Amino acid sequence: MAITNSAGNRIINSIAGQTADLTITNTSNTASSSASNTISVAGSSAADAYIRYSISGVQQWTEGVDNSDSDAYVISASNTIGTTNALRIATDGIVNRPLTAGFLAVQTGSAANQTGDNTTFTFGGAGTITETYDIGSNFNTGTGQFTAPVTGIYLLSGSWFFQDLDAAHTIGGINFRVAGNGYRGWVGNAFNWAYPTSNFLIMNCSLVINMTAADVATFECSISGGTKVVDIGISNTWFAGQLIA
Amino acid sequence: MAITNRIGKRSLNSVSGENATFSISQTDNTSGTSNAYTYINVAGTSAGDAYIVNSVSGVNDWATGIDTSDSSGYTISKSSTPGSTLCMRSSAAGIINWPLQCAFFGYKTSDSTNATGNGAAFTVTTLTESYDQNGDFDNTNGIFTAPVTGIYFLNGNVQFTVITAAMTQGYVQFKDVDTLAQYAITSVNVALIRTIGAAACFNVRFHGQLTAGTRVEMIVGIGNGAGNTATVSGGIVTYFQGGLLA
Repeated sequence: MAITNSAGNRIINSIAGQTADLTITNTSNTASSSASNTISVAGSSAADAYIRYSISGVQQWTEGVDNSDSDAYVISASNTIGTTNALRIATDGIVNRPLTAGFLAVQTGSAANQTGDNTTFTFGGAGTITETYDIGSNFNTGTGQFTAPVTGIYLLSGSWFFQDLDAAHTIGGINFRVAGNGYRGWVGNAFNWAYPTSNFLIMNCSLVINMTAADVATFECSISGGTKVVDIGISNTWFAGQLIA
Repeated sequence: MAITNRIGKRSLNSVSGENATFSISQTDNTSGTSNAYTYINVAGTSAGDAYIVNSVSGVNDWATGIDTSDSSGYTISKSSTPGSTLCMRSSAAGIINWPLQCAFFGYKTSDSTNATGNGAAFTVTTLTESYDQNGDFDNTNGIFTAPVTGIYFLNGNVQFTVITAAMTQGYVQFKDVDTLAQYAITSVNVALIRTIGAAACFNVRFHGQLTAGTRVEMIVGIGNGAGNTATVSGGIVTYFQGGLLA
């Protein structure tokens, strides 16, 4: 059965290749001549005002006002507004994307004698690392690798905590490696930069980079010029990433 | 009064516990052109807007749709009018802005002489705001307050001058104002990296989750000098910036 509105558009349609369509048209091309569709509930004690998109039996999306969530405007990947929110805009305009890929992992167990003789050390290569969060489960604590879930622009950040530097350690560098390519974050005379009595150095860097889905990012460091006695310290050694666009 | 469409769904409803709905369905599952959609149309660039309003009556309205007067961009607005209290705007080319999203940049307005050098911790205050989109940054006291729980990126930079050879321990850190927890730090031997003007400049980054209400400040300092005679520079060399990522 087709239900047809007064403009001849079918709102329920079962004919292959045709569209079920609700059209709201204002034919006046003058200022303030708008065309709108209002979806309204009665007040704060009522339920939600929303639109639902459905591919029957496959996927549903809802968007609208989540009355039980401080009237935020949300886009949800489900048939229930507020469940599986992909986007949430609070009434003051603050935007969250609660399911967008992002992670933070911290070195929580030290890794002794990992570099100093030009050995490249990769975050996660020794000691214990712990995830603070991993939205989408794209970070591997066993390998220290972040795998991009979708093609996009990512912000990568990281920090190294070097311990037991000595005067021979005159070269230091930290970098991200994305899809096999190195992106330098800092290079310098490691010993000169280090605190003189405790012989430690904390350096961090960030990178905005385009990653293709399935590209892998890691965080690396190396200290050169001396022997392999430089430790990787805890807490101030970390690696983070976030899909930003 | 209830207004009921031809399949019995109430589009205007006052019955407690019932929904007011309007359904557009294409029941055919054989053709790639069997669409279902709502089409909202205005007559041209001299006309008004094409949009949908989602409303909790008397409390909050949200409008989504085309703002004709704003280069026909697609907008999400916290009001019943597209473009008024604009929260998201996509240009016709697909470039997206979040005009009210948390983002701030404050730089130190002027030099602070004799600020550190012998261990004195210096909290970076009295900043000039380049921007503060949601009013989350207290530039007088140099404190950023996270407006919601989420993933944030903070970036801080400091320049010291009048560094002596004995002033070997310099740092810049982000610290929780209330718990005193350290979120991120960079520490370097500023005596050995100092350059013209006995100056050294370096930065620190935080990339992680903050809970709503968390207050963060930027603290800098130098140790091992004979006195607190080093200067923390003003201008866009000592700054605190950041924003909500997700």
